[in-house]
Formats: sequence, C-alpha cells, structure tokens
Amino acid sequence: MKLLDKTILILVSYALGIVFVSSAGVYALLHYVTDNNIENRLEAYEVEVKGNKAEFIEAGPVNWGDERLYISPAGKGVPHSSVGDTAIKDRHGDYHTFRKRSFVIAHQGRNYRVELLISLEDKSELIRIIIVLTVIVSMTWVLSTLLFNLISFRRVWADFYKAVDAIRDFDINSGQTIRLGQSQIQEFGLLSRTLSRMTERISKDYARMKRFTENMSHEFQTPLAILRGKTELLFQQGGLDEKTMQMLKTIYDNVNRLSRLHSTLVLLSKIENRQFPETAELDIAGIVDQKMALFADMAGAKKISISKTMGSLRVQMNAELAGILVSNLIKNAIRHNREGGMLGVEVAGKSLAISNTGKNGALDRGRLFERFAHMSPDGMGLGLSLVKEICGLYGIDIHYSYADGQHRFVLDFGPTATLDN
Amino acid sequence: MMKILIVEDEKDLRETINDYLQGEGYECHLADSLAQAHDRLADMRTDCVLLDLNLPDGNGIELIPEIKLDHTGTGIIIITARQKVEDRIKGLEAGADDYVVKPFHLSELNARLKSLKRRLSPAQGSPEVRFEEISVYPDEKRCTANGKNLGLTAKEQELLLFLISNKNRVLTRESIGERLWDGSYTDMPSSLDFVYTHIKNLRKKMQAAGCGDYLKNVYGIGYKFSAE
Repeated sequence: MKLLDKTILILVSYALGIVFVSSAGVYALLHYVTDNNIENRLEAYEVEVKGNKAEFIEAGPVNWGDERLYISPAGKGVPHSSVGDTAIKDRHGDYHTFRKRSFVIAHQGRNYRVELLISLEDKSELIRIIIVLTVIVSMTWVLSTLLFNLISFRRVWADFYKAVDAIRDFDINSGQTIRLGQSQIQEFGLLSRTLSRMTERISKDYARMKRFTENMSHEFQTPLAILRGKTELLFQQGGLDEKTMQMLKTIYDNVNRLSRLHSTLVLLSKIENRQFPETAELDIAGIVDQKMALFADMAGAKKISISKTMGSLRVQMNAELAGILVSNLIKNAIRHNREGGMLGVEVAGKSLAISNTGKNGALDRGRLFERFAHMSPDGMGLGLSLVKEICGLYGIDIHYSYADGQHRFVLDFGPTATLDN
Repeated sequence: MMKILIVEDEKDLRETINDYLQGEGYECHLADSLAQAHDRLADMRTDCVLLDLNLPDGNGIELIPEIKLDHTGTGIIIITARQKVEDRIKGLEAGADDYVVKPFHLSELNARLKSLKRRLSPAQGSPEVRFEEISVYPDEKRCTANGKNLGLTAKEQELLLFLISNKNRVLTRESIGERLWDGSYTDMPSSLDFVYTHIKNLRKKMQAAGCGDYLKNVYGIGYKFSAE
C-alpha cells in the first residue's frame, strides 16, 4: 500500500468517525434543547390555563394546528396529571406526533380535564436540517482535505523520491557517495544527511577492504615465488640424500598448497566484494566446449564417456568468472567420477545441467557449498564455494540432485541469460 | 650467449631467478628499479628483459615503450604478481612478448624464455629444437627421432619440448602439470596421475623409435631429461 493511500485511508476513516460522532452529538443536543423548550412552553401554558380557568372553560377546545387545547368535564378519581407523546390522525388519515400534557382543574365545584398538545414535527424538521448541514459541512471538509493531500503529496515527497532514486542508483564500485541537495522539509534533510554519511562510510570501508584484498593478492605472491624458486633450485643440487629430498618435497607441496589456497581465497573475496564489474555477452556452449577440451585428457584417462546436448544460451557475465564457474563444475564431475563412468552436459533453454556418475552416494546438501566442508585429499573444498559465490553474484539459481547413481547440478541462468534469436 | 636483464626489486627472487638462468648458460644482469634497468639497457646489448611490474620507482610497463623503441629485437617477459587479467593485457598491449604470474615455476620461466628466443631469432638456425637424435618442430607440431616421426599427441609434444627446454634439470610433477594444463589442474593433486600417464606414453613412443633412455625418474619428486 502506498503511503498516500494509507494516509488517505486513515484520514477518511478518522473523518467519517468524527462526522458520525459529531452528528450524533449534535442530534442529542438539539433533541435535548428542543424537548426542553416544548416542556417549558407546556408548563407556561398550564400556568396560564390554571390562572384563567373561567375564560378557558368558557372558550372550550382550541385548535391552532400545531398547538391544541382540549378541555372536557371529568369525573372524580381521574389521574391528576400526566405527560406523554401521542399520535393524532388528521383528515387525510396521516398521523402527527404531539407532546401532550394533561391535568385536572376544579372550577365552581366541577372537575375539568385539560389536555395541552404541542406538535413535535417542527422539532424533527429542525433537527433533520441541522444534521444534514453538519454532514454536508463535514464531508466538504474531508473531501477538500483529500484533494489537497493528493495535490500536495508529490510536491511534499519529491525529496523523498529523489533520495530513493539516489539509493537505487548507488554503485559502490564507482567510489562515489550519495549527495542530495538541501530539503525544505526537515525530515528529508535528515534523511539525505544520514544517507551521505552512511554511503561515505560504506565507500571508505569498501575501499579499505578492496585495498586489503589487493595487498593480499599482491604481496603474498613474491615470497611464495621465492620459496618455490629456492626449493626448485635445491632439487637441482646433486648429492642430497633421499630423506632431505622428501623434506624438501614436503616444503614444496605446502608452498604450492598455500599458493592455491591464497589465490582461491583472494578470488572468493573479490567476488564477494563485487570486483568483477566488467561483463560481456557470452556463449555458454562455447565456454563448455573450451573447458571440455582442457579436461579431455583427464576424462580420457578415466575412460569417461561424455554426452553433450548443446542448445544456444547467451548470458551477460564477467568472462573470467563464467570460465571459472563452468570449469569448476566440469572438473568436479570428472574428478569425482568413477573409472568408465559418464559425464553429461546439457544446455537447454536458460539452464546448464552437468550430471556425472560418482564413487559414493548423494552429497550432503546442507554442507555442499560450505567452505572447506569436504576437504578430500583431492582438493581444497573451495571449488563449489566458488561456484556458489559466482551464482550468487549473478542471481543464477543452482540446484543439486542425486538420482540413479548420478549427481546432477542444474544452473538456471534466469535474469543473466540474454534472449537469443 | 643470450644476455638477460632481470628487473625485480625483491633481492631474493632476483637472485633465485639469476641462479636458475645462469645454470642454463645465460649471461644475467640485475636491476632493482626502473632507473637501474634504464642504465643497464643503455650499457649493453640485451636479448631479453624479465620485467617485474611493481617496482619502487614506478610501474614496469613504463619501460616497455623505451625497450621497443631503442632496443629492437629485445624480448620482454613480464613478471607479475597481479592475477588481474587487465594487467596482463595492458602489459601485452604495451609490447611485452609474454608474461609469467607469481609464484611461477623457474622451469616454466625458462621454457618461456627459450620459446621467446626461438621466436625472436628465427633466422639463427632452424626452427627445430634438438636434443641428441630428437628434433622437435614446435611450429609444425611434429617431432622426429633419427628422422622417424614419433607420432606424439599435442600434449606429449608439449611435454617433450618442456623437458628438453629444461634438460639436465629436475622437474617437479607440479611444474609439468601446470605447463600442460595451464594451471587449470593445479588445485587437484590427482592431476599428477595424468602427468604420469603422459610421461609413460612419451617414454613408450621414444623407446619404440629407438631413442636413448633420457627420461629419468627422480624418486618422489618428478623427472629429469638428461643424456648422462
């Protein structure tokens, strides 16, 4: 629900409530006041009748339309006096409501019953008019407020929408912070100042992190190169006994491991930091072919039979990352395959599916993409984390399943896929 | 004798490279900065420059136009710690002939130097690489022993060329794996089994062609190609 709709909804229900309650209040008040007025008139009338008994008795009943007086001889034992409403039928058969006050007067030894009536219809008419007026005035107020809100909403919230646009267009790689102009509205001024401060801090943190990753990736390589080089030089020296050679080999192996670990971790954090902004339109089938060629020896040595179904799928991605993505999946499918197994690659629609026979059963879905989760003697446990990171970066949906002794990874490129043809 | 200028600010790395390349019979000169490299280039004829990009007084790329302009025929191999593809592309665009990424194998650097040397001076001798009775023709993807075609696959020929480039040297299985598969295999030690498979096949084909037993196992570490 839009802010405007919500505001208006609240306003309308509030206004309707007010109109209802105030109308009811006005009604009750008027009712009370007019009732009181009629009572007073009746009372004054009674006093007048009692004061001039002879004249009234002589004149007999009087009918002024909305004020009537009936006077009739009465026996003994009639109720002394009463007040109440009564309806009287007129010539046309319509009923009219009256307030009636009846009492008994004694005159010259005889009892007379006097009934004073005042029409209530004037009062009802009055109340109706006033209620209608109240409703009209209130509704005019509500409608004009709504109209005003509708008109002024865009103007009042313009700065807000400017801020939203700025946040949406904020690109951390650009190194820029959000700077909005002054707002006449204090709250939006606060918003834009807070945004500036926040994005400034984020940009600084991001730059610091980026610098750290760059330093990491750069400064580690030289010492590693020296270690590797010196060990390789030592291998060249004759006359070393086997034990020394084995120790050197252990050093060498671990230098290599450190180097691999380091470059993979740096790559992971670069992906996390979104340091691969350049994208291009790539042909997935082409990348698959290229990577399959690279691993052909390996697949051949394991006598793995390969089946390929290649549709056309073009995606908008960073070329290096797309290569890593495809190559990691194919590499895994070969590495964890059994002798004489099979490997299937299928590019169809917007998806790439890679399936392979394996040595063991289904993989633990929960820990599949966790770093260092499956540190087989064969790898570092980072390959699938890389795959997951890259998929996450581009909103590619990755799905793992296991059926009929085959592992199957399906990548749905979704929004990354650019429509072909 | 091939003259090489090693421009690298890290003393240990500079000397490690120097050690290996001198063992190959190259004449090596050293520089630890752009300024020093500039002086060394002016002092003498240089066949090839090994150029680190990250130098204390600037980016090594700055040196490339000068080398290309004033020292035609001098090859340039960039040594970079930067894994960023753009940096390599920038270097190659500036005129470098090749690059190695730290941490590289010395045998890899050596093989690239030899390959560069062949490309730089095609006029000097034949395009073939010789070792005893074996001739490898890198450009033709052909390889003969005693005039007979060995019938090697592309990978086997690459392997043989790498072995010959680093003859009399102990080559680790890792460096061979990296050479053959361009680093794609390096995160999987089982790839070393494939090195073994290729070595076995190469050895068989060489034996069938009556070559000497040049391919020697260095137990637990790798191989050595040697006539001794």
